[in-house]
Amino acid sequence: MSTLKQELKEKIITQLNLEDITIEDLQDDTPLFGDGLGLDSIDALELIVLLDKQYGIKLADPKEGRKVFETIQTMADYIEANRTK
Amino acid sequence: MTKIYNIKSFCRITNEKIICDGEIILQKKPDESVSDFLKNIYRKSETNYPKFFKMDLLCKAAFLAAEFISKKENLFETNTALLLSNRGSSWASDKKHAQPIYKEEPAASPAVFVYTLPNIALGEISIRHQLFSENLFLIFDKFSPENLVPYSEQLLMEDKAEKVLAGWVEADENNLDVFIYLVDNKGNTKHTIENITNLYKIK
Repeated sequence: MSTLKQELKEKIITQLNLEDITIEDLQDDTPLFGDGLGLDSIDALELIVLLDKQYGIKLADPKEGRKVFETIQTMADYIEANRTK
Repeated sequence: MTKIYNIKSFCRITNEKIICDGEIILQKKPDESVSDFLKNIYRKSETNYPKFFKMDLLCKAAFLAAEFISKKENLFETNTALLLSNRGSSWASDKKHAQPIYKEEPAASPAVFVYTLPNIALGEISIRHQLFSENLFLIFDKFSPENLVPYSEQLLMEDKAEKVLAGWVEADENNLDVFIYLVDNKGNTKHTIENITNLYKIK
């Protein structure tokens, strides 16, 4: 699990061009949206594409996305339970 | 009575350097990529605007030129119209968006897709400086002050705007050709096709 979380942090920083953020800044429980990392709606779409491309998970329900993308920890938990690749 | 308009401030970014109102802000290193050069200009500007890193090269270039002009001639919440132009439209982002679509496993990036229009550069400047003004992005074969000058003056004469930020923005991985200037009723350089052409020639 810790490898997956590390991998996720690296992918999120690269994919979302978070140039001022380091892996150390991104804690497992840092909120990804709102007052945490401050991601926006386009970033949310990028995360959906990332889940699909990297882990074979198709996220169709927006309500589900809200919970999945709360933190690195919730994303990792969801990927572990649902990944197809 | 015909009003006299002037070029109050300008910013030029080329493959060699960024110059604003005659002052060299930063020189590009010979082996530096366009992307890295723009990031270094951003750092030099001491601006804190993390969204900059998400922009495509066209928006980054336009954003930076406007940023340096605004440091001298505040654009924030003013009635400044935007009138930009180029030849390649959003070609660099269009290509980046199209490439993964034609691969075996098609996947387009939403963050790339949002930049597949040149007028997004106007939007980024408007968001940054809270402008609710007239804006237009034109496509020409080449830098065309013959069109920019009368359009800018029309906007000012009809009181559609108090100032106009106009110019040319071409940016891709190999090329930077940016010239943005502020038209106002203040300033020492007359707003003429000849003066604009001469300022654009600065390399």
